[in-house]
Amino acid sequence: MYMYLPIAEVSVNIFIVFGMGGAVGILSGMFGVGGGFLMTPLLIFYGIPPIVAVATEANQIVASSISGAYAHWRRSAVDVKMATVLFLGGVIGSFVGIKLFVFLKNIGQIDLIISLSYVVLLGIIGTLTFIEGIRSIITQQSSSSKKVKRGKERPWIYSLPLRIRFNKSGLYISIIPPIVIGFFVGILASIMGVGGGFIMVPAMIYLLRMPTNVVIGTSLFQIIFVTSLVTVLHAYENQTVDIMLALILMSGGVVGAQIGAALGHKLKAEQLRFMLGILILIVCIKILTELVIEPQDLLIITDII
Amino acid sequence: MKKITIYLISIFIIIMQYSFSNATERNLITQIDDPHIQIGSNFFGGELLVFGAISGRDLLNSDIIIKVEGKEKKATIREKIKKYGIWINDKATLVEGIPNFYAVHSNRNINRIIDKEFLVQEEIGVQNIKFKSQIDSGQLEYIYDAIKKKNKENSIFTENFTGIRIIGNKLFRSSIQLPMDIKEGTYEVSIFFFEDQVLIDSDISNIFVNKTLAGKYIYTQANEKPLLYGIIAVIIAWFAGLIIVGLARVT
Repeated sequence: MYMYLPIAEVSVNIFIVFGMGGAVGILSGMFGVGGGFLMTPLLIFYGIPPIVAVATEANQIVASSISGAYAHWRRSAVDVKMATVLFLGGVIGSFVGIKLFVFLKNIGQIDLIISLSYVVLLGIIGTLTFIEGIRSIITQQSSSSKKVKRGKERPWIYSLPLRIRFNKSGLYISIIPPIVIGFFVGILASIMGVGGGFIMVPAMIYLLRMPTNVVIGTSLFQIIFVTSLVTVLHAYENQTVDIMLALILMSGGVVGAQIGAALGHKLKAEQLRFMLGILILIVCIKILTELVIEPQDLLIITDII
Repeated sequence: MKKITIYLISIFIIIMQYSFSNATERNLITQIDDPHIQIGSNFFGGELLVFGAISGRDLLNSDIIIKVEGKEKKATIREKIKKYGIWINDKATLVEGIPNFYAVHSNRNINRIIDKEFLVQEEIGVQNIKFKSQIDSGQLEYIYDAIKKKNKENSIFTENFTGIRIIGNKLFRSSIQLPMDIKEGTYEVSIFFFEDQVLIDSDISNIFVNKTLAGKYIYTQANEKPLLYGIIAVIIAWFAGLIIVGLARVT
């Protein structure tokens, strides 16, 4: 069954888009990843214009991060104060990101930048996920290896000015580092249509030294607001948020996340993680190939109404 | 898949009993019966049906050309060049006057129907569509050809020299395919009637393509009230998120 998407201005097979939402939903349910970094490339492969894919995916992440954050909220594993500070940086980052996006769009390089960003990002995440997955198979007996190694010495970034107390995380640190982290995540969200959890989570653990139990909840909680803002900014500046497309993806995601969560309990998801790594690397290579091989059309025609 | 056939135009040629004294003899009078095309969310291409007859004449020695042309638009053209091992976009050339839809149907090869001069003047045939550009680089012809080639591949520009059927020497009939992603707006339908390589009569009429239902509403809102649209998109996502939460609690 085909449907005409009003903003993307292409007709898509509803079942395929629903299936993509579902498949990525299963992965996020199983592995606890946001899935934006897989969904945006999939949408582009399917023929959705990259600028619409990015903006619409930001919209979908709002929904998926709300459901993700809720579980952590109930366990009171969200540092709201930290999330607020991160969001502050996220606001600045989103505005800068959108301006950058508009600039790149006007000089005709936005598609290239989106692709290149994905090659770099997916290359890193894919490799790390793969290595981690292999490692978890090798060391499946010793659960102690999962502990995060943290240095004893106080990192220098703690002693920057504007220090405040984060009770939930048990930290008394400068707000500058979290603002900077939030800033970069805001830029990533606006240019790539991702939540940015994969950057934020390690940064919170290794740079801010937050306790791991509040990291994911805080990250997801923060992503809700950054992607909400990014959606509004894309809609306002570029008119590229396709509500119809987002709705189909969200419905697929609802079903997929349920299946994924159930599967995650049955299968040993941690040990399947290396397969997620391979999948991410395949997507990365596909984007890279499209950049390297000679394109069929050597002329790119962009309509101006 | 069920094919939706939309009968967009019924053009009736009214037989003229009398011709006007001062004007040239008019044989071709067209009337558009229902020139409004509605595109809903489930539109995936349709066809434009054009048929008619010429008063008091057999079509035995006649030729007919139908041209459908959409609104002209501008486009920026960027050539892909290889740099640092990857293909990137080079600087842009602005090209104007590209119709967003173009179709020519005829009963035989247009070059045999009428001389080249006329075809060029009336922009009949994809090769005769005229584009404009401010920049006069040596590459313009190459760029114009590429635009035509690409639009032909996407069935935005079509030519069909056997696209008009003449039935029983009296009636002509043509069905013009409209692509899935046809744009909203006014389309000009020109019909030319020739006899022995001479233009006898022609007629121009308009058809209107409207996006309807959710599709049009969403498009208009997104462009006219972008801020409100963005906020609504976020509210919908919040609801969707809360539904997922609700479902997760039930199961």
